[in-house]
Amino acid sequence: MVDVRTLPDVMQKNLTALDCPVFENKPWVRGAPLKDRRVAMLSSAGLHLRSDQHFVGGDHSYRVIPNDTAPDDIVMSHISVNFDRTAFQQDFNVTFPLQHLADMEEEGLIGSVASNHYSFMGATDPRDMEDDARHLAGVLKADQVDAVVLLPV
Amino acid sequence: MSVLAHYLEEEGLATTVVSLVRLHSEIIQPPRSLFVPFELGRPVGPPSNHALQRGVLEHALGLLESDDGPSLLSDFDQGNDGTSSDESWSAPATASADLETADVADLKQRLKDEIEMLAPNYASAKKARGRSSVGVSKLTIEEIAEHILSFLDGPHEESPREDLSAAMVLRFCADDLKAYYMEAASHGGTPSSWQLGNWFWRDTVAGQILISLRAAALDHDDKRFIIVGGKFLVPVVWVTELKL
Repeated sequence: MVDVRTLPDVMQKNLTALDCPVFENKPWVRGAPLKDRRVAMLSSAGLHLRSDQHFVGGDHSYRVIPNDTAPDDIVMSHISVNFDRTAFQQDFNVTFPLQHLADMEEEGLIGSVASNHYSFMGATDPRDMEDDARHLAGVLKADQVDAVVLLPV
Repeated sequence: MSVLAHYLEEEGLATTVVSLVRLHSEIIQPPRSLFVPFELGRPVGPPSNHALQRGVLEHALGLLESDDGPSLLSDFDQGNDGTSSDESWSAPATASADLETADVADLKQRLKDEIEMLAPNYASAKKARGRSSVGVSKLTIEEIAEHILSFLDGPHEESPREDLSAAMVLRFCADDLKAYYMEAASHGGTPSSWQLGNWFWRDTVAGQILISLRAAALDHDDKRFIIVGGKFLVPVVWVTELKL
């Protein structure tokens, strides 16, 4: 985990003062064993295809990244420069582990990989993404997805 | 991501979150989350350490088989946060410049020279990795350099893209320029993000030009230039480290 005390003052303040929602209900969905699940990834790294619309400040929409996308076709337009990008620049799997998911499917550890994966841009308040996220849930279910791994940046 | 996980789970989808900031997940309490010890920007671990990355993904997905809900918090702690330096790594040569004495024409030439010096490394890196993250500006590296350099004479409205303002393109050009340098410099080694940042912000003409543009933007009255220059050119960690 990031030790916020090691970050510059302004970042410490931003992270510790972030207004996080507290939910009264605690949803908990059970499912099949992992080896039978269909898995999709959801990133907040502001990832998208080269041909797609870049993210802007306050953007609450998501972009679709097909599972068979060539890694060279994935770019990042997150508005913040205050996280390490050098890792993604060297190896896309650090933020979007497409290769590992494919390997796990081949090895039978998961049932299948979803047709598409998705990315939001995490600088936007996630409460502003609620409608898009609930819409995305329907899209995921239509693809028979029953497991989603969410990856921050 | 913890908030989005809550929404998806409410809609009937099982979720598992990789978490980089424990404090936030402790408050939001998503259904399942795995805390990882990595830098912001690398939730699955350091680049090229595929065994470690795979371990993170397996651990996160493995939480889906647990019945310890409805708010399951787990830790990934294997003692490797990926921040150690690569002592064998050597930084590429750069076309150093003294901004105190260099004039704009000199800086422009030195940036072009430096980009050319890094071109073989960048090409090799792209070939070896099968990809590059450069390209969000949709301009060539020469056009990227030209647009950044054009701001050395002050903000203007001449955008090389019809769909974006000159200031917005400057933001994407800065991202692309940094990616070009970092991809080239990291090829053949495993430098830490700190090593790469130290090289870029202290030793390269590109870094010095972005620092200079940031200072100029903060001292200007053009709002868009102030925002782009102040927030999107130099990371806070380097503003702090270099006492800018």
